[in-house]
Parts: sequence; structure tokens; C-alpha cells
Amino acid sequence: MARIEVRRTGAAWITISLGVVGAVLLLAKQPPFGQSSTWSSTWADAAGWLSVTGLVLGPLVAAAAAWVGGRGARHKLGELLATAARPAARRGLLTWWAMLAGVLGGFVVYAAVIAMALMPTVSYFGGRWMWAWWLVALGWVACAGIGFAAGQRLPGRLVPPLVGVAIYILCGIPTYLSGAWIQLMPVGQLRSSGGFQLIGWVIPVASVWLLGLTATAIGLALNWKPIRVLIPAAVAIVAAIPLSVSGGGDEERYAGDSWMESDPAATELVCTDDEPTVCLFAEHAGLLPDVTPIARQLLAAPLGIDRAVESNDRHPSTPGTLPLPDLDGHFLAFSGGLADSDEYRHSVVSDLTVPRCSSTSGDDAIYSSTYAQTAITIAMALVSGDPPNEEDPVAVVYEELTSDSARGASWMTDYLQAADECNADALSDLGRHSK
Amino acid sequence: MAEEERIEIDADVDSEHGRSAAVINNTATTPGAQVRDLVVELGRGRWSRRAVHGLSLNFGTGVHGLLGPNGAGKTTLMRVLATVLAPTSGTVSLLGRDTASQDLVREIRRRLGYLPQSFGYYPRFTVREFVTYFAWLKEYQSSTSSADVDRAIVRVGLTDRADTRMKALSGGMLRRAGLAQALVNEPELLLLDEPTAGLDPEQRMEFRALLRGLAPDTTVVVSTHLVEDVASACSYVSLLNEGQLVWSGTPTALCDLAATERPNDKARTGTAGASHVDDGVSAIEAGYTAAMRNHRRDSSQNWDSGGG
Repeated sequence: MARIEVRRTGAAWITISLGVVGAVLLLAKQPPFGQSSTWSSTWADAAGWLSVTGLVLGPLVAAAAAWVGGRGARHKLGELLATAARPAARRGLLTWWAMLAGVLGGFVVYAAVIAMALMPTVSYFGGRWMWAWWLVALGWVACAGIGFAAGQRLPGRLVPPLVGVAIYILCGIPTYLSGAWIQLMPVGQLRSSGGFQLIGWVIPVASVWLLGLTATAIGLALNWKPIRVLIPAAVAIVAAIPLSVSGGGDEERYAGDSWMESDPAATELVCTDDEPTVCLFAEHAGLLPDVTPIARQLLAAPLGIDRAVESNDRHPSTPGTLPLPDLDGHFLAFSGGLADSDEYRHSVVSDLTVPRCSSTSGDDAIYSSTYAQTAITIAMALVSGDPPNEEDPVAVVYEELTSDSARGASWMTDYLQAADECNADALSDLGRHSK
Repeated sequence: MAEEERIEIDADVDSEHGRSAAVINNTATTPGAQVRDLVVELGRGRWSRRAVHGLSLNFGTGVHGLLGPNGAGKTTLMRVLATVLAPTSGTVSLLGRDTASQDLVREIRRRLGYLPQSFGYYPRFTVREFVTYFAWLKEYQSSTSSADVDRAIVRVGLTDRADTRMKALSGGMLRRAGLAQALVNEPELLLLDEPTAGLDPEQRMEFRALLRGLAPDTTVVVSTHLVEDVASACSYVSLLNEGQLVWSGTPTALCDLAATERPNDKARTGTAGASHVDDGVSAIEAGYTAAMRNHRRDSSQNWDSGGG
């Protein structure tokens, strides 16, 4: 009977559709169709991707469930079904399970595609990533429950698309709002990313919230007795309260990140054994062979340092090291490796040499000074090892500084200090005297 | 005649009190279906309409025809017997069980077969899947259910179409598939609402033959507006009009009614529906017309004498 019910609900089609749409969403963001910056090598980032794409797939799940829920009525089977000995609630429950099998099948296919994309470069398996995926899956289940209830209660051909649009709007609007409550939305709002993990207590409580929401929807769909609907509804509400008022983890990056906390193990440094040392976060360790040649080439510039370390906002670079920008979003899906070595190299050079001023006036002072700009150009050329065009007046200075390594190192030390202090006058002096 | 001798017919049409009753019993068994003082109102409030007026009927084993014009209440009565529609008042007992009890209704439904006037289906289902699904809905799952499904399909003559999708079937085949789902659980009470509607003459003949071949211990109620169906397939017939019982008896008795009304035609009637009292009008059609006229006349007289 299960086979017929699976056929009746179109579960196989649901699995295939969700898997294909998910795969298309993923591939559309990978080269050559899209930018590589949307992808990373961590399970946590993948969970974030799963969640974000839930804004498309969640409504699809809900619409498909509504379509299945209203099928009997749409096909005018009500008269025959009304004489069935098997109680409507049990029939509906079997339909629900068959349809859910299709939805979860779609999730598994999509998750498998993501896992395949991830496996070549993944090196870190901590950070409670499985639980993040689990909550995303429960979000899909909740969407299915809501859609199924709508389809059962409001049979009609327009109901499935309307349910899909409603779920999209309900889950999408909180993206533009703030507050811990927005993560209560079943899809689209789980802000999982590299270096962060779900807070321990959130996992069971959020699971109860999503399962309670689903059970309430199913109860309404199958016309359970009010008390049997109220119990899961009450449990869901009780679970939602701490989730929606909690201040959350130790570092709130954005509104709605209250379910996440830092994952120190993910950002522990993993370094090369040989010199000069290059270190990456543990979650990016798989890219060490790709990053090390780039970092060592830059370390050969007249910087006076012999150590490159990945850094980000939470782990700023230490003085005397070549800071490597956070590698989130630089991985190539499926094949592994850096998506664009040149781009990454350029971003390292840029991060190191371009002054970062805390005030707009500081920026203005630097960018309005021709000599300061000259100094920046020379610094970037020195660090990258890419000589300026021969016709460029700074080409001569570049030659002088590279031919005299002591002078070059001294100039670079002065430059980095001026850039770090956002000292426009000092930068202008470096540029003027270079000419 | 031997069969008729076993049948006790007790029809009591009491138009004066707006109630009608008929008891058609096979003397040996409990009635497959029994309704007492059945009243069914459709709609609510100002749109409420009384479709059945105090109807009392017994259906024993055999094939019973329900005849009547459109709006007579046939389909409403069938839906009540199928436990789709709850009576407004009165009692309904099916297979010896009161339908007022939900627990008993489930037991009844396991032993019930119902083919509505129009029914839906999942277009991508094959005939076999459609019938299997309804076997499951009827909680008729057993180790032999697959064989039961095949047998039901064979009985309706769809063996070569068992693996054809429902959406690919013609109208006649669809009705046969519908009948297969009604038969799959070997029902003790089989309700067929306008089963020959939309069938061509050949299919109709096959369908009637199928009805005649049903198990002798089954109660079959066939609602139709085609008197030929009744004449050729039914052992008993009840005439309904405006929610009331007009006449009840055997098809032969209905034919005789016409002869009684028109004695000169008596010699020309024989087997129900087989001969004609007039060109193009069968004996049973004439009987049907006579019964209806008598009913309308009696109703009118009751009205004139103050009964209404």
C-alpha cells in the first residue's frame, strides 16, 4: 500500500523537483554561472546556504504539500472517500508520511549535492554542523505541514501557489527586520556560517518549536480533536518564547544571529611544517596547499616578516605577520581549490597595503593626495612583486627599492606604519620623496 | 414464479400522513438495508429543502431497483444508505447495524460497496492501483487482496485494461472501474447510483448481465431512471417521487399494473419489459407511468378532501 500511496502523492516527483531546483540554485552560484564568493568549504557555511535557499525551496515544499493535501477534493473523490471504512485521519496521516518521504527525499538529494560540492576541500567536521542541517530539514518539514494543512482545509487549484507565495513572504520579510524572533521562521533565517556554531540549548528547543509547529499543522489538516491540536501548539509556543527573547550567543553579528555562537575550534590555526610558516583556520585547512605558494611569494616581498596567518574580524592579524584575508567564499565547489588564485592574491595585497581609516575625513585626505596615492601604488607593487608599467614614473622608484633590499624594507616599514595610522601626511612624504 | 413465492411484499403508501412505507423481504434473511420514517433535508436555513419525506423501506437480498423522475430523492436515499449523508430524522439500519453509531458505521463501510452517480479518480492511477487503493480504504487488506483486486477487475471485464491509466479509459470503462472498486471487498450491500448512465447499449447489456450475476446473498440497490435496467436486472422495484414512496413490488407486478389500468392490454404483457402495450412503450414503462399517475391522482384527491 505504501507504494501506491507514494505514487498517489507524487512523492517521487517531489523528490526529483526539489533535488533539481536545489542543484540548479547551487550551480547557478558557481563558476562559470556565478561568483565563487557565495561558496565556502565549511559545513556551517553549507548550512547557511541550505537555509538561505530555503526561501525558494520552502515555498516550493509548502506548495507541493498543499497540492497533495487538496488532491482528493480536486479530483472529486469526496463522495467515494466519504464511504471509506478507514478513518479519514489515518488516511490523511499515511498521505502525509508518503508526501513527507518525498520532501525529505528532496532534502537528501539536495544535501547530497552540497556535500559533493564540499567534500574536496572540507577539513573541519566540528561545530555542531549536523544539527544546523537538522534544523534546516525540520524547517522544510514545517513548511510541508503548513502547506498540507492549507491543501486539506482549502481545496482549490489556486491554493498551492498562494500558499507558496504566502510562505515566501512570511519567511522573506523578516530578512529585512531585526530581532531574535526572526529565526523562528521555518526557512531562510538560520544564519549559520564559518567560525560559528549553534548554541547547545537552542538545538533541542528549536527542534521542539519546529516539530510542534508541524504537529499543530497536521492536527488541523487531519481534523484532530481540539485538545490534540492544542497540546503541540502549546508546546511550540513554550519553545518559541526563549528562542524569540534570548540574547543568544556571545557575539551577535547581525540581528537574528541569536542562535549562534563562536566556534573556537574552527578558527584554531593550522600551520605548515616548513618555513616560511603559513597558517589558516582549521575550518580552511584543506586549502593550505593552495594558499601557501601565494602567501610565500608575498612573504618574499620586502616586508621584514616570515609568517602569514589567516585573520578575520574576530581574529585580527598580529603585528609582524602577513595577514591573510578570511577564506570564506574563496573555495571552488565540487573540484576544490581556490576559485581564483589571482583574486585572492590581489585581496591579500590590497588588505595589507591599502590604508583603512576609521573616519571619512582620513580617507578623503589620503585619496585627495597624489603623493599618498603614489606611495600606495609603490607599496602594492612591492608586496605583489608585479612591477609597474615601465612608462609609469614610479617604475624607477620600484626598481630602486627592489634593487636595494635594506632600503626597500625600511621604506615598507615606514609605509605600513603610516597606512596603519592612516597618516596622510606621512604617506604623502613617502610618495613625494620616492619621486 | 417460484422465486416470487418466496418474497413477501408489504407496501403501505400512506399519502394522507405524508409517509410511505414498503417492506420487501426475502423471508430467510435480515434486510441488508432498512430505513424507517426517513426524513432528509438538504441545505440550511432559508435554503433548506426536504428531499425525502418520512420514507420507510426494507431491502433484502437480491437486486432492488429505485425508479423515479429527476428530483425524486433517489440519489439522496442512496447517499443516506452509503453513509455519506446523515438523516435529518428517522432510523437507518444497514446490515443489521444502526448507522447512528459511528463505531458501527465503520463496520458497515467495510462490507459496503458504493458507486456514486459521478465519481472522481486519480488520473495517473492504473485501474489496478485504483481498485487496490479502494480495497485498502475499505480495510480489505489481506493476504489475498491482490487476488481480490484481480477478481474484481475480471468481473467488470477490464482484465486487459488493468494496467491502463484511468485517464486513458473511456466513459464506459471508467464506470466499470468504478464498479470494480465497489465490488472489490465482496460487499454484502452494494449501492449503484445510475450505474448505466453514459454507457452505450452494448455496455448497458453487459452491465445488466453483471448485476444479475452478483452473489445471491448480496443486497444490491440500483438507482436509475431507466426502466429497462429494472426490467432486465432487478428482482424488486420501488418507485419514488418527490421524496416519497409511490409504489413497491416486483417488476412483473409493475407490468401488471399497466394491464390493470388498461385491461385490453393484459394479454399482451408477459415477462417484465419484454413485450409492449403500445408501439415503443414497454410493459414496465406503462406500469411505471400508471403508478405515477395513480400516485398523483391519490395525492390530488387527498388534497381536495382536506388531507393537504
